[in-house]
Amino acid sequence: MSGPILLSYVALWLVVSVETIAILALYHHFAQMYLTSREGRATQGPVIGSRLRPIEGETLTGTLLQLPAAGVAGLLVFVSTKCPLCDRLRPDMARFDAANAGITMIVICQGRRQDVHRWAGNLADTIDVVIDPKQLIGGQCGVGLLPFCIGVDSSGVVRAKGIINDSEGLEAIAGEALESRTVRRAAPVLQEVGQ
Amino acid sequence: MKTGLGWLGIQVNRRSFLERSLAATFGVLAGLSIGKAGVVMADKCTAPNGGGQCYPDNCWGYGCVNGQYANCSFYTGTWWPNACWSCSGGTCCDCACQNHYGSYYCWCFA
Repeated sequence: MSGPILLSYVALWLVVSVETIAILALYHHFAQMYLTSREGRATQGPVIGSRLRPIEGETLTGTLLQLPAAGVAGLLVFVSTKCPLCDRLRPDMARFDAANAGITMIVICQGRRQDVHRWAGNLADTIDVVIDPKQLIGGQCGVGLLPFCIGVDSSGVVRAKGIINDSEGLEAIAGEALESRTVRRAAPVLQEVGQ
Repeated sequence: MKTGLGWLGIQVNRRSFLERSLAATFGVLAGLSIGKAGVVMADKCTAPNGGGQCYPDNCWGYGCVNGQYANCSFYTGTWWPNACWSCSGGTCCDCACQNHYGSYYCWCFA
């Protein structure tokens, strides 16, 4: 191969490589825009009415958890150690779990083990907190925005889902996902401690 | 197409190095395309009806607040409050605002 042809060959591959990265970057930009639009947010998570794909995760206590648990309805709450909204949701989750003993709540937390441990604190005493260091479980469930909640019935079918900001979201999803009679509104903290 | 975009967004965002690299590439190329040598930062949030970023005094962190020129509040969902979400190390909120000219949507980010 002569000099000019070799040069043009290399230059061509360089152009192709740059164009490939540019196209990927462009798609990523539109994907990001779509993901954060109201429409994109509404399509996050598994399809309502579909069966939740089996998930395996390790809890903070080292237990291997299979989701969805057979015969048990529940809520899967996706959070992250780097998400300020998730911090605000923590007391709401604890209150909801205490007020609704018949519902299994599982928190799937993105982050490193030690960060998740620190983030969960006392929450891990009452609620199973699954560590998702590489966002594999989130990716498997199609969840990219947090905090996100999925309501699954006792047969493992997704009944409700969505981004949540407070206990009202948890109650709404639990109410839609499960039989409404089993869901009671979370009692305010002052009533719980009997003041 | 929409499913593909959603999947791409989630999968790329899962890998922070890839996400940062692609965002930087887009920023540089977008900057070059409009004749700017620097990086053009792409918006991380999208408001309803394609609204842009709120006036600075209508945002307190990621929260929507009343300001000098407009009154803003969180634009919540139909069934339960879901105006805010976190993604890629930041938090976005949808705001519904009202000023002398009418109402509009915008977003706050922190």
